[in-house]
Parts: sequence; C-alpha cells; structure tokens
Amino acid sequence: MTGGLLVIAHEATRTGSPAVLLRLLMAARDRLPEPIVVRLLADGPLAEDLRAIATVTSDGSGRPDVVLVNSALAAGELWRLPKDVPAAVYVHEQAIALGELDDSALLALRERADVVLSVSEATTADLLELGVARSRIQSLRPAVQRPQPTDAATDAVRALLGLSDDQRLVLACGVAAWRKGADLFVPTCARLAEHDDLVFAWVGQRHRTERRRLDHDTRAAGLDERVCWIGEVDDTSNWLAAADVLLMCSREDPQPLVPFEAAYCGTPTAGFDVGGLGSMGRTGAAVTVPFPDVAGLATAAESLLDDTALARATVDAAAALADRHHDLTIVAAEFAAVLNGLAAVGRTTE
Amino acid sequence: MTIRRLLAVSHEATLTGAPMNLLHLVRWISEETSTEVHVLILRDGPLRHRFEEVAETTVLDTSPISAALGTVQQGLRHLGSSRAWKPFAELRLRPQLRSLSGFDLVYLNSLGSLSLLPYLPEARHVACHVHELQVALTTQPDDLQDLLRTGPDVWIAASHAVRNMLVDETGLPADRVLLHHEFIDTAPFVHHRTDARRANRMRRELQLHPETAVVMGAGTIDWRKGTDLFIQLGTEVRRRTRHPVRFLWVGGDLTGVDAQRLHSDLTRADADHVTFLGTKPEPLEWFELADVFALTSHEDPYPLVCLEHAAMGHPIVTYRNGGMPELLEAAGPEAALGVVDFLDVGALAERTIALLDSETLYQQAAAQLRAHVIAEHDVAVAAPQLYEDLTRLSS
Repeated sequence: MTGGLLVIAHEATRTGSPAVLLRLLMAARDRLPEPIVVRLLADGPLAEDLRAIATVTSDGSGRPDVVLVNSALAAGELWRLPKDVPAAVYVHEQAIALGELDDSALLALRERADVVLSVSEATTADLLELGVARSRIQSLRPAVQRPQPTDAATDAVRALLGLSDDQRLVLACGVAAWRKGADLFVPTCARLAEHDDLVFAWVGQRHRTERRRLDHDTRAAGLDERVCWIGEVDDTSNWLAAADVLLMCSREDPQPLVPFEAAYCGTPTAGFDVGGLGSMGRTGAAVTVPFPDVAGLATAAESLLDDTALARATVDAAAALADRHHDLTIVAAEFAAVLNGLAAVGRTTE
Repeated sequence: MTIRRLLAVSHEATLTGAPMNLLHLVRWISEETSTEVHVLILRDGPLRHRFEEVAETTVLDTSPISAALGTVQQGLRHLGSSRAWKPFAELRLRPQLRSLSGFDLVYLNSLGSLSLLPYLPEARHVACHVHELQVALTTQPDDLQDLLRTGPDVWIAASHAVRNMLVDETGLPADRVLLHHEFIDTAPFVHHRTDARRANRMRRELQLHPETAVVMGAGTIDWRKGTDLFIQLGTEVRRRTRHPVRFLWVGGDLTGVDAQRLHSDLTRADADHVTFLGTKPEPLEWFELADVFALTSHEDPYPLVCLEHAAMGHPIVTYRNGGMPELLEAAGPEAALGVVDFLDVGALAERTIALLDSETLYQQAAAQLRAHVIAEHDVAVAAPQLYEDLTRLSS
C-alpha cells in the first residue's frame, strides 16, 4: 500500500480489543487517512465486518502514512515497517498480559511507537512501569456501543436454556480462561447453587485445556445440570438482556466493556475489585468484593438479585458512566484526531 | 506359586506420590520376599539412588544418542504426528530394553510408564498401577488410553475414586481392577521428634509468631494440586478469624508459568500470609511446622502427603473430590468433619478454624487419622496385601 492508514490487528475474534477496533473504524472511517488496510495476524469472525470498511490482508507491505497497532500483543510488528512511518499502539492490556510480551513488542512500545494509547489508568501505570515514556502515552478509553437486544431474541435465549418465568439467569461473558477467572466462576456458582431458581451460563470461547479443567470442576461440584458453557455467540446483547445479573470473575481487566453493555440491557454487574471493574465499584456502577473472595462475590450477586432498588441504581450508575466516558461518537473523534495528527506530522527517525 | 522376577517401571524418579509409593513396595518386596526385582526408570531424578539401594535399577536414555532420539520422538508427538515418531521410538527403546526379558510380571507404575509396554520383551503378566484421575487420564494421547484398556492383565486402583473411574468410565472389567489404597512407611513420621531449636529457627526465618497457627499445603505447583484454591482458603480463613494463621505450601517449582500466575494471585489478593516455599530436600522438617494440613486439589487420587501428615498427627481438611474423603471418613467421625463439598471455600475455612479453635476436636481428629493410617496404610500392612494379589495373578 502507499499512503493511508495501515491497521495491524492481532486477531479478529469477538473479544474486547478487536470489537473496539471495529467499532472505532466504523464510526471514524470518513475521518481517517485513506485507504484503510487492515493486516490481520490471526483470523476470526470479525474479519468479515472489517472487510466491509477496509481492505483486509495478511500481508500489508508498503508505505502507509500512519500505522495503528491494535493491542500491545502485536506491537513487535512495528519493526517490519519503514522506520519513518509514524505509529500508534492501542494498548488494551494490563499487568499479566503486558508481562507476557516478548522483547520485540516491549521495545516497540518503548522506542518505536510515537503514541501509545492506553485504555485505562491502570494500563497507563503498568506502561510507565515497563519504561514507556509518559510523554508518549495518551488516554483513549474504549468505546461502548449501546446494544439493541430484542424481546424475541432475549426470549429465545431463555428458551434455549429452558428457563421458566420464575427462573433467574446468572451470566458470565468472555474467553473462559485464567485471566478472565473462569475457574472462579465455578465456586461462585457452587455457592449460589442453594437457590434452586438460579441457572448459570458462561458465554465465550473455551480452549481445550481450560475446557477439561472447567468441565472437571463443574462435574465435581455437582453443577453439571446448573452451569451451561455456551461457547462463542454472534451477539452477546441478547444474553446480557436475558440475564438477571452479570458476574465478572476476572483477575485482570483494565477496562471491561461488558458491564456497560449489560447495564444498557438493564443487567447489573458483580465482580472482583480489580482493574476497571474496581473503579466501577467505587462509583456504584458495579458491586465489587476483594479478590478472590468467591463467597463474597456470591453474596454480592445475591444482593443484586434480591434488591431491585440496588440493581436499578447499579445499572443507572454504569449506564451514566458509559455515556460520560465511553461514548462512541466522542471516542471515535479522539481516535481520528490522534491518527490524523500523526499522519500530518510524520516521524523523525534518529 | 511366587513371582520369581518382577520388573517395576517408574515413569520418573521425583519425590512425588507415585514413585514414592513404588519405592515403598519395591523395598518391601526386596526385603521380605524371594522375588527378584528390577526397576526401570523412564526419567531420571533424585529418587533413583533410593531405588538403587533396594533393587537393580536401569535408567532410560543415559546415552546422548538415545536421549536425542527421545527428543525427536517427543517433538514429533507434540507436533501432532500419529506415526512419524514410532520409528524413532523403536530405534531408541528396543536396544535399551532388549535385555529386560524373562520377567514373570511387569508392574507399570502410573500411566506415564504405559508407553513403554509395546517395546518391552514379552512378560507373562502385566499389571498397571493407576494413580491418576479423569483430567490426568483424558489428557493422555489416545493411543495411550487404548493401551491402558488393552495392555495390562490387571489394574491396581489407588483409591475407590480411581477404581470407579476405571470401571464406570474407562470400561475396564470390574473383577480385574483391584483396589489398593496408597501406602507409606509410617515409622519416620510417627516417630519423628521435633527438633525444637531447628523448629524455632525455621519459625524465625518465616517470621512466625509462637501463637501463629500454620495451615500447610504441599505438592507441585499446577492446576491439579489446586494452589489457586489454597490461596482462596487462605484469604477466606483470614476474613473469618482474628487469630493469626499462616499458610505454607511446601514443594513445587517457583519459576514456571504456573508460579507466575500464583504470585500474581497472591499480590492481587494481598495475601502476604500465604507463602510458597518451593521444593525442600527434607520436607519432613517443614511438615512439622503444620497444625492442619489442607488438601485443596482439583483432582487427587490419594495423595501420600496426607498419609504422611496423618501419621504425624496433623488433622486434614479437604474438598469432597478424589480419594482423600475415603481416608478421612474411614478414620473416624471427627476426622471426617474435615471433608466439605467441592469448592465450598467457606465451609473449608470454617472446618479449618474449628480445628484450630477446639483442642478437643483437634486431638480427636488427629488421633483417628494417625491410628487409621498406621493400621491400614503402612507399607508393612498394605504391601503384603498387594503382593498377594500380584502373586495370585502370576499363578
């Protein structure tokens, strides 16, 4: 390619950072340098949506005006580009994930990227710890899109789970892996299982090893009939709308968006006081407990299930927070301004 | 009819449960019977010298060529090859195993040693001692799982939980799956006398106040042993009691990915009262610091470390999974109070605190466990029973 915007994305799964990228490209595409080329390092179901707004390739050689690397995981790719092409890396990760970066990615964050976009204060703190200069870090909160669940689709979810009107759904959402605390979901469900009307579901991919372990724990806890591992779905909004409470068991999540999406669907969130959810807890936008107090998390979920006023207040606070800080129109404008600014100024190589 | 020659195969020589159990058995057979025992170790380790003390021992892959062939074989398997690794296995194993012929019984200790069976000279009988449960079994390659069904004449299950899995899920014939709970040499643990000076020094090193109670865990650091659940228990106990309680975990590599995750959990939970000590050459010295032993495994057939702590007079708390509830419930009513539903961390914390708070309960549970382990799980009691079954098979 010659000129325009090259986006390097580590994957196109239906997970947080690829979804945010897609959202921003869609909202800002008329204001971004053209052409837009997306180089995917790994495929995924969002690739099709990306094709609707950009050229998607696995190659991406040439000389763009500006490069955006989506997520720190792909930062090492910057070394393959001409040195004088300006670049931004959008970092959606925090301590554990950043700690697993290879040397090439770390060096790219410290020395090659002109701008490092950070999703949260926690991420900024971790980037500083890694030696990224404060002058190159800019905040860009991830954008939330207001979900549009329909009653019919929500009913279909409840029907799929075989839920009667008097049964309630406790939902978790995300890749069912260690970082997302899928292992902590099972003991929390075990604690809540004394309520016969509760059904538990996790929406999101499960990798092989994790699947075996989670299935083992679920069976050993006698929860085979109560916990449903749904796998990946096209649209989580119907599930969020069908749920009575969202459980966030993450060990680390700099700025989870699912609680905001859940709030827009009327579903409150309970989780651990870590990362972005911890901040939400302090403003009443989620009910949080210290990590890894699974018994406390179960109690928090119970309080949201039983106290409609608390649930309503939590939902309202989360929705207001999303409107204030994660509005797509505002974030997309900031996003476009950063990339256009970089393209205009160019890069001075040493 | 007796077993004239027995080949005992150990997948490794680490200071872990299955090899330790085999060592106890081999020592007893060598000392108490006329059976000639030969030990074959697939992967060398610190226990090799102790095997060598009691039986003629062969360690696999001591030459650079066979080690290199082993690396290629493993590499191809990891790459998903279903056949390409086999010629390398032939080249590597046949020459090393050729001399190991003329055995009445091949005793494969744990699933890890099954892979050798196709390359061993034919023996009259094959027994496989299964020390694994579901996750450990299902993560084995398919061909190994097939070999488990078709290779041995008889299977030894390390607990009821293992036997149930082998019969109900793997479909092995019930009459040939024999139950023999794990056993230890109880004497060093029962007769162990605390060296007060050493204990004080260790407590000082760990900054343990004399009034601080110690809840101990032990084992490798991985998902199966439930180090994550140990931290959960630690934080739950801290929430529920004002008395100082320290959680110490003995064993495990503190440098791998699992350890990194562990440390990140410890930091996030602000659990400075939970300490992972790593591998200790003399774990018994550390065990004596324990007041209560907590087994938090996700999956554990019948861990020897529980038998060791029971023999030392330490009560045990455990989730109801794997084989350990079998020990506690057989030992007596107070000992059995240490069993709670799987993953009910609140209940596990409550039982732990109850044992620390009530001297009567503590003494009763401890006495029941110690008496039961001495009566049922000492090598002098259990090994003859296992040997008798193996002899019956051979005749």
